[in-house]
Amino acid sequence: MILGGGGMVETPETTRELDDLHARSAGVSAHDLEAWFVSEVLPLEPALMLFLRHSWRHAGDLADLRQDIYVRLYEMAKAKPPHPVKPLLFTIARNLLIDRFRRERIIPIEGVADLAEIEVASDAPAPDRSVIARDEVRRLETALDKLPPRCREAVMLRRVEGLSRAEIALRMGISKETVGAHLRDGARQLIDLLHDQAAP
Amino acid sequence: MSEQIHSAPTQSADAIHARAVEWLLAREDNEDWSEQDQAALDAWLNEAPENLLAYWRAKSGWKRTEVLSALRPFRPQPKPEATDRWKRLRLSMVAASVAVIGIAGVVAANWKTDSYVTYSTALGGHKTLALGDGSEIELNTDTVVRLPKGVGRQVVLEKGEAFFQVRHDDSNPFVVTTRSGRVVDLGTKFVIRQHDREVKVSLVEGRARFEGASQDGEKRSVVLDPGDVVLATADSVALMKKPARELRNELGWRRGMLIFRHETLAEAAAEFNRYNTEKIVVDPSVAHLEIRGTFHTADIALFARMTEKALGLHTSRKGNEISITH
Repeated sequence: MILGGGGMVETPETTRELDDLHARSAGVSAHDLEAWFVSEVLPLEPALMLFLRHSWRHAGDLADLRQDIYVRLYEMAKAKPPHPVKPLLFTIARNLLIDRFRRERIIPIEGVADLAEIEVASDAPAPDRSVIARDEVRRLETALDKLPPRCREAVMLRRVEGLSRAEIALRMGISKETVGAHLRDGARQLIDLLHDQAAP
Repeated sequence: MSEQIHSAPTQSADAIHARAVEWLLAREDNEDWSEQDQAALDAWLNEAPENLLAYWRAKSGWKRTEVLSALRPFRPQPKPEATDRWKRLRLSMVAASVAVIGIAGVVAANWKTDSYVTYSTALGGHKTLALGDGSEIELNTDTVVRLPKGVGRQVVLEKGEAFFQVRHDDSNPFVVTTRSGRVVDLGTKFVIRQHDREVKVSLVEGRARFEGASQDGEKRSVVLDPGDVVLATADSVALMKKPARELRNELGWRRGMLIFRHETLAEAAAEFNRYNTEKIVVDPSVAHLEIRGTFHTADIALFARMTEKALGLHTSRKGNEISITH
């Protein structure tokens, strides 16, 4: 039996954390929306990004495309979050790409061709959670190794040792501001790598 | 030819992601996060759905790195030269990190005798002692150790559990005495847990010698290598080997985490009960169910919810007691 191994723990905690975050007055509570977004939308990000990468040539646009897709999905979901999310998410992605293709007058041969494949791939059964947890640790370690050494050290001191910024500054012999910059850079990259597993 | 301008988003996704991460870290770093701070964050989140979604995304991603901290093997951190000033600072800073991890630990240091100092942690407490010789002792919940004043290296573990990182010195061995034997360091990291009459020593790194208590003058002594675990009582010593991963999981408490991989519900509940005044009581009919998961030591509520969701069990609360039944 599996209880909240690895990433599974985060959903209820995220929801609970929101208690003191902010109360929104939409039809669905902010808690529920965040929990829905974290547990149902974000896990689809690797498949979504794979799809976008195959369909859109300019790597520099991908994050913006993803953002636009999430916002469109969110606007539609605010009243009533859809279950399952995947068909809607990919419909939105497809429509957004078609808009862009039209606007840029591109004939989306690659995009159309790849779509079928990607959808099949993303329908594959989800691996066992323990496999996910193992993969996640491996992925994190790989990601950490990609960070510049000082940046990695700062992130490790925060995440492994649980030290504050001032404490890390003391330990590393650098200013609090520099620690802050290292942490921000490190966190930004790690978060992207965790959500989008194929990120370069 | 590009006509993208007319629908140009206010900010690039990368810029918003960076901003979201800044908010996240600022909030995490600031122990006196004020209402004004929160209002500023709320205002930013309300400004645009892009902001809100980027924040949710960043928060959940950052949270996932906690798993890493719980599972990661320990690497010695490069440490600057320990000047006296620095050492003092480090002690206070380690104490501060207790608050960062979010453990409500009350640490008390009492003068017991002239020659010894006693350090203890309350239920759910956690404290690191940096010794003058560069060694460190990390106390888990409900633990008492006794240290000689000055730079003594003869430590007594009165009760509870502690993790030792010892600066080795051939001419002056570091010795930890327990009720059921003692551990002599040979350059090492190890953890000792004392529970009732039984003591458990797990060697994480380096080498150490375990010497069983000897009523009859005959010492049972064994040299431990990494992965070795000794279970000793007053009149028995058992040695077994554990995989490194399992040892790391057992040390999750150093990060404030409980990590279960093959534990039964009863074992997991017993672990939680070491850290909290609220106690979990598991009905015998479901005690054998196996669970997996990673939890904060204080997060009984999440554990209870997960047993309901994942195992389909029922939980009920009465006073300080949470019962888990079929």
